[in-house]
Amino acid sequence: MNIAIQGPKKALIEIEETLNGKSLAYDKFEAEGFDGATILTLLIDAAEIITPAVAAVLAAKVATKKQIVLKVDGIEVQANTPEDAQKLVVQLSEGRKGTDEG
Amino acid sequence: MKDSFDKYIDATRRTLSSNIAPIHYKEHIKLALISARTVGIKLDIRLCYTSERRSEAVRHGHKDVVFIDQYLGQTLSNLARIVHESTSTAFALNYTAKMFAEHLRAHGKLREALVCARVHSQDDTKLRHLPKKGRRGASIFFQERFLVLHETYHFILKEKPLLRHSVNEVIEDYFDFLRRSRAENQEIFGDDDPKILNMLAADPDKLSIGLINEMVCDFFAFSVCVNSVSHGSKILGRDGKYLAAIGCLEALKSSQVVNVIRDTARYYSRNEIDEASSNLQDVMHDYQVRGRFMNWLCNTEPRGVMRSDQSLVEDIDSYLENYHDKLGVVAFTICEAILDGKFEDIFSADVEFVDGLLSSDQVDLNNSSEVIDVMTNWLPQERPLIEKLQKNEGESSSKYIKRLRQMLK
Repeated sequence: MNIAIQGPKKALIEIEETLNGKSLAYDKFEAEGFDGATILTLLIDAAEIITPAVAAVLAAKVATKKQIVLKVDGIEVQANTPEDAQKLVVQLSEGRKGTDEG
Repeated sequence: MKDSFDKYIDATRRTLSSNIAPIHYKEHIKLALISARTVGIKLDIRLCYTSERRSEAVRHGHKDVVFIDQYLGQTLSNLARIVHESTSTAFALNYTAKMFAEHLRAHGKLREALVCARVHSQDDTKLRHLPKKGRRGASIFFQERFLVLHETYHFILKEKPLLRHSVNEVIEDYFDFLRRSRAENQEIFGDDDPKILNMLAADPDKLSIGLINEMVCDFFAFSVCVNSVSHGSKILGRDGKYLAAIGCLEALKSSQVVNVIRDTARYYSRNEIDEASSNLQDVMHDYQVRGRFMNWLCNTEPRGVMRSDQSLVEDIDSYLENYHDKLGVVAFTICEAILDGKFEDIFSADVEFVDGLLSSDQVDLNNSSEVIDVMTNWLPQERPLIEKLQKNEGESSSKYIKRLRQMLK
């Protein structure tokens, strides 16, 4: 399962830093957004690398930044509150094979 | 074997790859690749089938891929049916509800998606019941060709920006036409209400660079599309170029509906209502300008597009009238009402029904995704779905799906 995190370049800086800080591999894509601005997408292979702890951090960051969207299998995950973020952790963790690094 | 680009599409969109039928796009893609090769560009064009209904050029590292969404093509076909063949606005309501249901589902708004899916599932306004009329086949063919070429030219112009100079003269001619129209309208209406003036003819000096880029791509796509038809084509007859020209105009008008509905669903789902209003006004304005540019091209293009009689003008007028009355007015009014916070009011009966089901504990919203897919025909066959559920989750799931579908009828 791949997790996509999408948003304008500036809004994604923190997310990228988080991924780099955790040494998580990701693919980066550029496309034109709805308003002509460049939209970045970070693609993470959840099954191989992501852990609930990292997923929670990512979900929380997405929840606090309005312009960032998190998608799983093309479905946008609604994470506007910490509770949503918790649910998201469960969802993201379902496909993982790796172990939790705490 | 899926590469990074395929994984990107799978993760960011709801896909149904088994529905891709490359044969329908073979000739369009060939033409696009030739257009790119002529100016020394090698392109990777791929098909996808996604509920986003959107073509997209994606860059990963140093590689670019242009994705053409075949579901957008199917949508254009259905919108053409509504414009050319429908007998009441109920057909537009039905299809608008389907598009909303699919977008809301992708945004994780299951309750609202279920409501829209129920609105869509009124059998008496199914498009397949409409008798086929006139030139819809040719229209769809050229609409799809236009969109493939338009997307391709975005890419070509990014790589070869100097190419756009060859279009400067045409764009300037069109801007002169706009200035003359504005002056004439100013004489009639005065300039107290700039909104009316802008609606009748945009101010060319205030058009954004982004919009002009779109118009340049429209022009290239239009030219290649029209010139891809030979005079006296065996299949299309003497009117081939004319059919291609009007197909390009129809592609733009239908794209406007598709994009405004997609954007509305996105803004609504993310609760970004404040941003929505002005952004959607810009989208509507830009499509109006592009539509008028295309209409102007149809009437001025010097390379034999026009028929010798006046039927082109009449046909375009008649198409635009049908587009407005049978499709535009319904789709855009629903979008406006939703962004005005009136979702619950427009679909009140269906909202009440769905809320009743949800509160009765008979229906679990978290399990309703696949029901929405079946009701919107995203998953066309119910049997495989039920078999899948039986295999994975036991007998109860299939019974649940059946019961819920029955209830929602």
